[in-house]
Amino acid sequence: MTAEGHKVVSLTGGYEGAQRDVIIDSFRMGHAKVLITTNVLARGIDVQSVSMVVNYDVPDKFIGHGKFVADPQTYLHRIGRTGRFGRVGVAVTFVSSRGDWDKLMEIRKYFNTEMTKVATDDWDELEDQVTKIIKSSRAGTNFQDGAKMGGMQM
Amino acid sequence: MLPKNIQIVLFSATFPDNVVNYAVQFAPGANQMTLQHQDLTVEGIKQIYLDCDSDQAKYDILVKFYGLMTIGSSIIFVKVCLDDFASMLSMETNII
Repeated sequence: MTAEGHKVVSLTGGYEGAQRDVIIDSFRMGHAKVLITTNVLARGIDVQSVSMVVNYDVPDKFIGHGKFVADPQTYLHRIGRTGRFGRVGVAVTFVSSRGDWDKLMEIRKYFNTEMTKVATDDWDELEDQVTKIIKSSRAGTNFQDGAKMGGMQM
Repeated sequence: MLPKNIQIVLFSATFPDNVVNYAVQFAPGANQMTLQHQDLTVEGIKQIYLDCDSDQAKYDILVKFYGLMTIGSSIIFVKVCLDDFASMLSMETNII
């Protein structure tokens, strides 16, 4: 992705203390626009400018005997890194197998929420679709600009 | 011990039942406000998923997706083996 011109940093549990702060600050201040991380950051971090969260893998948890099941809590905490304080955000999850799909549908059901499937074989359509979705989320939010201004502006 | 007159407020987006039960032991008689898990997601976060043919296809799709969209800041969550992922992306794993 760096080769494509994206400014990327990554953070794992292996980093600690000061090093970790430097990475997060670089992201927070916008020097790096993409942060790649694991569940170490799924909870708690608050960077208000995050407009998209990508689940490169469907969040799951190990329940023993080699089995993994859907992890709705982690999903919710991850996607909650965007849309901070009434801003709008997009959460994109990559699904590449029947097992992934089953887990994601379980999460969908758990939160009784809406998830839109976007096909990846037609990129023009994908672009249209995603643009529309983002626009509609702006229209659908309860926290439009007017509301942010204390409801002074319609 | 903490003074008796301080107020403690605990928040979480996701309290599983075992934590709720623990909280009752930890702070008996405390006021609780809970939401059903069906009511937790917010409308401002639009959720989509991309159907990928295989695990290997995901990376190409990711790069293409980023090429397509003008995105402000974003976070990509991966499961494990971040180093493998990072080297796959042949990207800087360090500070910019």
